[in-house]
Amino acid sequence: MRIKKYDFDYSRRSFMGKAAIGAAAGVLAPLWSTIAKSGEITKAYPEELLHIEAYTKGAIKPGDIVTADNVEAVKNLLDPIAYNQVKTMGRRIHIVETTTDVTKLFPHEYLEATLANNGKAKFDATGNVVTSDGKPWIGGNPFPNAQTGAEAFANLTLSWGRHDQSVYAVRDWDISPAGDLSYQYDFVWAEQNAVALLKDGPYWAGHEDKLRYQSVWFTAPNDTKGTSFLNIWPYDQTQFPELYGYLPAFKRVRNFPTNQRFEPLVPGITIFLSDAWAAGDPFLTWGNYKIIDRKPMLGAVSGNFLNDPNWSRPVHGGQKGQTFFDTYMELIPETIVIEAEPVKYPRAPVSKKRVAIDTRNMMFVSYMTFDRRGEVWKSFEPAFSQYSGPAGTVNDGSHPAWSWTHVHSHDIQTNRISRFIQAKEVTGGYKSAWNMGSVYDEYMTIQAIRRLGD
Amino acid sequence: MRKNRILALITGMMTALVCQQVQAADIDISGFVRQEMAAKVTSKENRNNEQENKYHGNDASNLLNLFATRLEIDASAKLNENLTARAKLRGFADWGLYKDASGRDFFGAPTFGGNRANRLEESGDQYMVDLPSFYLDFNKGPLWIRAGNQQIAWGEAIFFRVLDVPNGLDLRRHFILDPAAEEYSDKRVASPGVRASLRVLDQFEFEGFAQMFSPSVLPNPGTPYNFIPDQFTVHTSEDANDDWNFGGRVQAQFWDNLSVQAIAVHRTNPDGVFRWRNETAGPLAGLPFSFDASEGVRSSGEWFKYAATTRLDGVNGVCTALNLASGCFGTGPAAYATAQATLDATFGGLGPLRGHIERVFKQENIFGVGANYVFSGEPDTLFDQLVMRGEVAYTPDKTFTSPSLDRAFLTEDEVTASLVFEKYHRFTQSQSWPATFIVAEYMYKSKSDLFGRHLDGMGGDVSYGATGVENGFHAVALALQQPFPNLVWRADFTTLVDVRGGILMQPGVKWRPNSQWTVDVYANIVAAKQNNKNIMQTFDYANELSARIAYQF
Repeated sequence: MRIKKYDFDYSRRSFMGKAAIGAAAGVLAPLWSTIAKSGEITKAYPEELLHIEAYTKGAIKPGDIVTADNVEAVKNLLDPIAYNQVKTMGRRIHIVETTTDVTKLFPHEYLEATLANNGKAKFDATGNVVTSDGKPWIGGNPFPNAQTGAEAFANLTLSWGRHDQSVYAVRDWDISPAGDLSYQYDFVWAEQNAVALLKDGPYWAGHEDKLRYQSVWFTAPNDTKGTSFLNIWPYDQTQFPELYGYLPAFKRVRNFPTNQRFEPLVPGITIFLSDAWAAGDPFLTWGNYKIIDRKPMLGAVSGNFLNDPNWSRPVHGGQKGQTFFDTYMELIPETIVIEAEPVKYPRAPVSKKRVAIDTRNMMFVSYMTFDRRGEVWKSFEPAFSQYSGPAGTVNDGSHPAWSWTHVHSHDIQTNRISRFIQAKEVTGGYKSAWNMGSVYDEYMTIQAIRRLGD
Repeated sequence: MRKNRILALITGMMTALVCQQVQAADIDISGFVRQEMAAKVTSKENRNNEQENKYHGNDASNLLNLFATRLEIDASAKLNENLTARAKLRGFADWGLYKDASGRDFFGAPTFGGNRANRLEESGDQYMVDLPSFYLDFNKGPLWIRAGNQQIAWGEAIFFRVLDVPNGLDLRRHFILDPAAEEYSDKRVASPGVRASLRVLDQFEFEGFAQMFSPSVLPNPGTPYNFIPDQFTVHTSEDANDDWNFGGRVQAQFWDNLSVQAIAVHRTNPDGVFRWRNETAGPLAGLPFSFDASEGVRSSGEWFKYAATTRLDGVNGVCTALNLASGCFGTGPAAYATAQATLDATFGGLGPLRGHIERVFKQENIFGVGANYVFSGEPDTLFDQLVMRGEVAYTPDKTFTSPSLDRAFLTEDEVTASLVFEKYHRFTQSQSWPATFIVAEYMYKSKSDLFGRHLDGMGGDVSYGATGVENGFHAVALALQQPFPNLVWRADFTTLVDVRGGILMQPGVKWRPNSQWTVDVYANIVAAKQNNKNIMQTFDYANELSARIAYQF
């Protein structure tokens, strides 16, 4: 038992003060220098931010399940949509211990690069991230100790999946307002970074002007099979990605306007390109970044790898008992809550997004968008985990993998929920993998999406 | 025989390879069953069918233009890291629920032996089963090879096929009146071949194909969308069945917003050209006619009327039918009067006659270029993300059907071009309404219309021969797609306008209530001047309300 050296409101006062001026994470000590020294966070936060039982004064403890009956105890740790899901829709959230060992919150190579490159990033005159000698970023979080919204979003944007290459085999279920399963899709989402590479990098020769290549293609059901999109992101974050699409009905690749990023890709799904990683658009096409809060939150950042044969997971809640995945959340000692506006999308249906970012690894744990009237529209709630559990470990090379496990995307205005998992394998024989070597030829060219689409 | 051996060899090799690998691979099977129907909304009937031939005292009254069931089964297997197999089986059965078209052969076309219009097809009077996809994909690095039965779709215009030249069209299943946005994807005739693509320096893609010739497939006589009058018998040549088509395309991407492409194709034109075909035996040997008391042409008026509606020259057609030179009667009213007298004497003496025409396939070379440019204007302006596409194709010495059905075809250079503007525009900032997709297109053809009929055959009528039209064929199209919230519904409106007096409008909605069911409801509204100069007049009977209800698995 640690001795409480500070009164319960000390943390709250500390966060309020930091939110106002912008300051480094950590309450008792600067978080990132603590992590750099020890690889863990316990010296940076008081007990009530490290233990849910302490924070809730015993109301909730690890192993408990948050339900409508006890959610009031953690109401201020949830975003309003998650709170409402628990309170009114039968959602249950499993509580696990707070992760203090940050190696479990990163892919190994990404954490190493973040540590090695700490302090080498800056913004150039255009607002893009460059190294001290003006070159594109070289790997890891450029601003591990982010103190502005732009810095935090640079962290999110420059390497979405925190691997040089990621192929996510995704299985999606779309739940109607009545709780019925309306649509089910299998698709593959692939990312290939061109800079900030952790292996054989930091730059992919000949592609230094690009940030990433990213494609998504649907493999089921039959009428959607073959629908494919390819995004080619310039490194310059003021520029829109090139967007190409292959629609089976057309049998050919088309140029798509690159600013169509706020619409579902296929019927019934609530996910937009703009939603990806809470940073689905180049971060300088959004603006007016501001930190509006620093606070602890519940977030699904550990314990979510369940070792199901296809990495699937139980469901519960909603009117038909199938609206939500079982999700494991922990008390995150400190998040930065940032708002931003889509300044380069004058007709965007979104007026702003509000994103909560875990200061330990600079990954988002909560994301909400607001419509043009300022009303809450959607949440895109991710879950992450080290891919290690009682039944074994999945590596992303020679280390335990870290990645997202599942997502709930809830349009609260229509009450439609898309929930999807990173599956081990989906229709078409595609399997999830990370850092497996270049997937450019296979998945990231116009030729490739034409081949995948037919 | 040679073609069958080649096909058997290709099919056998693919099957052996797939069987060898398939045990190690998962096979994904999916598909759908779809009921397709089109109900007539006017009393106008297809004049090309005997049932509607007013000159024979017939007056059809069908309620339906289409009532058919489709089954498609798609199977694919990833055989290894580089090899994927894919097969699609398509079955289509027409119920034949047409009051005046019962007992017709809807699908048989003895092009490749038996009753088959395509190599990998089996068909009967009311059904067809084929394999529009049956191929192996090999991918390694920048190289992609697809071998087997496949479609090749080039170009990017709706309705218009400028660079989309590798494959012909199969018009037996609802003609060209499926939702326009589908852009012939169900119509392109798949054919066995090899297609290879190689990317170089990321900026360039070189593509080439070698594919066995497969002709376009026309609706059969007496069927709802038939467009060759029943008074003709078409004798389709099989001389080109062993031909191969070859083509190449290079695509290049510049400055992120400009892509260009160039194509060169040597092909046997799948559409074919038509000419009189003399009978070789019987009392009318040496003439392209046979006696046909039921469906044969009975009068000069019928002759001239049907010549005009099919864009033929009724006056000079008499000359060439009689093995005389086109122009044998001179020109103007006197020529018409002479032709009319000749016809009346012929029909008076011999009775109703059936015309025999031969469909042959000629080789040609097509050279084309295209460019896509994405404008980057100020946000929320007209030019913001406006996509412009231009395509031009040039076919030197293209062979056309002579409007007189002369045995000597017309040979002229043809230029085909299209200019397309596409834009997504969000008319409302309401978060639930997706952007509207807007496409505006213009098309030009220098010598023929959308169906490939020479412009010299335009403008005839029952009382004069074809006058022809000058300055090429011009058409414009506009397409709008408005998805509803969550894309569960989508409203479409597409219109095609022939500037010489025809319009096709196609409003429709698509409903996808869940993963299993899809419903398309759309109308084809056709209006055309009766000037025999526009394309819509050819199918102006097809005012119809269509529905497609699909269940997928």
